[in-house]
Amino acid sequence: MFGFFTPGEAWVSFKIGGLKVTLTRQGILGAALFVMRVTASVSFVVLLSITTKHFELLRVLRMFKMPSVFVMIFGMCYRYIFLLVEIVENTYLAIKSRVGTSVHYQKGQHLTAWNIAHLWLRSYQMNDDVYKAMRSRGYQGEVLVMNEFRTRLRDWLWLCFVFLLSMLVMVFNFHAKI
Amino acid sequence: MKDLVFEAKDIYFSYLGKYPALNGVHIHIERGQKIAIIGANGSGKSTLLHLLDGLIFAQRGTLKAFGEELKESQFNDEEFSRNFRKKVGLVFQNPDIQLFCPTVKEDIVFGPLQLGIPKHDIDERLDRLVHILGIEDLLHRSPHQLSIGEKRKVAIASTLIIDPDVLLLDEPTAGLDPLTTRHIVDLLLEENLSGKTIITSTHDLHIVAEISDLIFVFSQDKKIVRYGPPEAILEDIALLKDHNLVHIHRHRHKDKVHTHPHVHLEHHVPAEHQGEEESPVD
Repeated sequence: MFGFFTPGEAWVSFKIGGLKVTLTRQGILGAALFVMRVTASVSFVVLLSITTKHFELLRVLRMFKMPSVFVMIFGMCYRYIFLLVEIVENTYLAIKSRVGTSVHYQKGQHLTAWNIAHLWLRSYQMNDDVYKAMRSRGYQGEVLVMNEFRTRLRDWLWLCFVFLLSMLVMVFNFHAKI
Repeated sequence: MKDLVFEAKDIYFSYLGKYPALNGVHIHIERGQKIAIIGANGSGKSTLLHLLDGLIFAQRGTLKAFGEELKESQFNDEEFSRNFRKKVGLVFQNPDIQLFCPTVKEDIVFGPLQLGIPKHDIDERLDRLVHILGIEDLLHRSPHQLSIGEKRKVAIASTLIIDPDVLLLDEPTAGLDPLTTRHIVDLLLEENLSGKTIITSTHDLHIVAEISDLIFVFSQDKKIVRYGPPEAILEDIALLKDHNLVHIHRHRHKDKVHTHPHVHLEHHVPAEHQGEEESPVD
């Protein structure tokens, strides 16, 4: 955006502490492009996560040959995060019910620190218990999962459509002049 | 000669080496028996089930399963471990611990997949179990979205699908409504009729008489203080009171208020045997 990073046609100039700063047209357009790309990427990730069930995303990771142990860990993180959030919520409610809403900030810091320690201990205990539950059902260090993902005609048609659309965007991008 | 599935002699176990959980436990369990383990909170019931499932190991004493002593080193042998896990299944007290997969279906089939059971057998067992337990609609849901009763049913399904000879259940009916409790008790009785050994830890005295041929009572000393058939144990009100298993219950019969220990025996008929009191409603 600034002249000393992206030289070009000066658009706005001003002084900060005696130092002349220039915004160039190319710099501003480059920064705007960067922001739009980040926004688009984040939007697609959010769109994907709110329109696709998390276990289907995990299946896709398996399809892309990600080791099953990593996929299992992702799945368990997602599964247990809700339980841990529930523990935190309940702990805060329990504190609120006993001490009310206003707590001196030092006491608040103390409570938060204990809460974090308590949560860590609970998750450590849970880790041990879940491992026992896995061993009890035959886990021996390597996870075997049921792979039921099957691509259907509509999946292939959608893939072709997305591929064509991407090509068109690339061609348009190549010919377009900013 | 008795066909013993478990034989424990003077078992001792402590957590972190300083909190005793079992303190000299002797137990003999025969194939096909229904066993109930009752006792107050923290009396060592869950620890015993974890020992029987080969998840933890006795620090003193010996525990034999199917005639062979259970040692930690044996579980390093994949073949032994797989055979043992196929024979013994544990339903954990907390279903949130047992259900760790993204969906209910993946959780149920986790065990048989690890144990190398063929896929068509897994599919057949899955269909049968989800039908019996009425959980068809839950298969594609995430375990964290289920109610406690549904979680317990799924946890039981995830163990039953392994089709173990011995089923260990840690408080399977805790916090459940009466109808769900009934379904679970019926299922356990059916499994027992098909030849499985059922070992249940519970404080739910409503169900104990039905789900046991033999009851072991644990004390706060982490020992078995008494064992015997349900009719002998459940009628010993002093024993149950001493181990926090009954309380005095007061309820109404027409115009009378009726006081008796809360044990769900036939207290309404042989009133003189139960030491009950009746008083007019105020």
